[in-house]
Amino acid sequence: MSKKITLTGVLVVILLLSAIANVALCVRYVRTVRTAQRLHAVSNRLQVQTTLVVRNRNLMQSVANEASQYAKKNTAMAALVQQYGPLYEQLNLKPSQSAAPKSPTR
Amino acid sequence: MTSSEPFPPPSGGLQDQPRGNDERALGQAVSSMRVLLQLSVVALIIVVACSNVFLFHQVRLLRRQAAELQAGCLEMAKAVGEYETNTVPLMERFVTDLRKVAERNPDFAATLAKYPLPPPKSTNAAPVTSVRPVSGGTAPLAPATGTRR
Repeated sequence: MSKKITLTGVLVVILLLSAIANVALCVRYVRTVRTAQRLHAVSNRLQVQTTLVVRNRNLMQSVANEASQYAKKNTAMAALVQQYGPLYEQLNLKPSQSAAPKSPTR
Repeated sequence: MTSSEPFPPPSGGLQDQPRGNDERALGQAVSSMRVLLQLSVVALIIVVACSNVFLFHQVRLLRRQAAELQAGCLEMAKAVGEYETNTVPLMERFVTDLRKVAERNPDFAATLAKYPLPPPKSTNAAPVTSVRPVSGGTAPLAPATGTRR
């Protein structure tokens, strides 16, 4: 029984292969969309957290500035400001400039 | 009955001519149907190929965007983690010490009261995540990990 390779057969095989490739690409697309959606949700959550971080840092900067101002007239506060030098550095403030003079506490 | 001729022609010369016409018409119909089928398959191949190209580009674009998003997420997560690990404990200790100073200095207490700082904790060993936001919509020094919109 001889099999003749007809043009229709070749075309059907090509169509079949294309359909298989199409299904594979669809699966890959759906997976990629899901991954992107998950990443988008994580990104949104992280942006909210980053906003909180920025707000907290601004608040602490204000408090640290008040402490620095108060340290000019209070030695205890001056000592505290000196002690928390790393925090001032993290808040982009300069504790050395706000150090209290060697004057007695009022 | 042979396999090549499943329906042997009936014996009789009068019906040979119409039967030949029928066979020719049938052959033409099969041929045209075959051409039609081939054209349909070719059209389908073109459509599927276009769909493949579109999907391939979409997947590539989406993967690139996902990679960029992932890099941004990693950067933000690193910054938030560093803040929670290093800055928050220092801030809490600083606020606690400021409160101690404010207890002895009422004028500074009045200054400190202007800021919505978190309430003092009962123990020093409490985890960072136990810091609660004060009422009124603000969440000063609140940990960023437990925040959901």
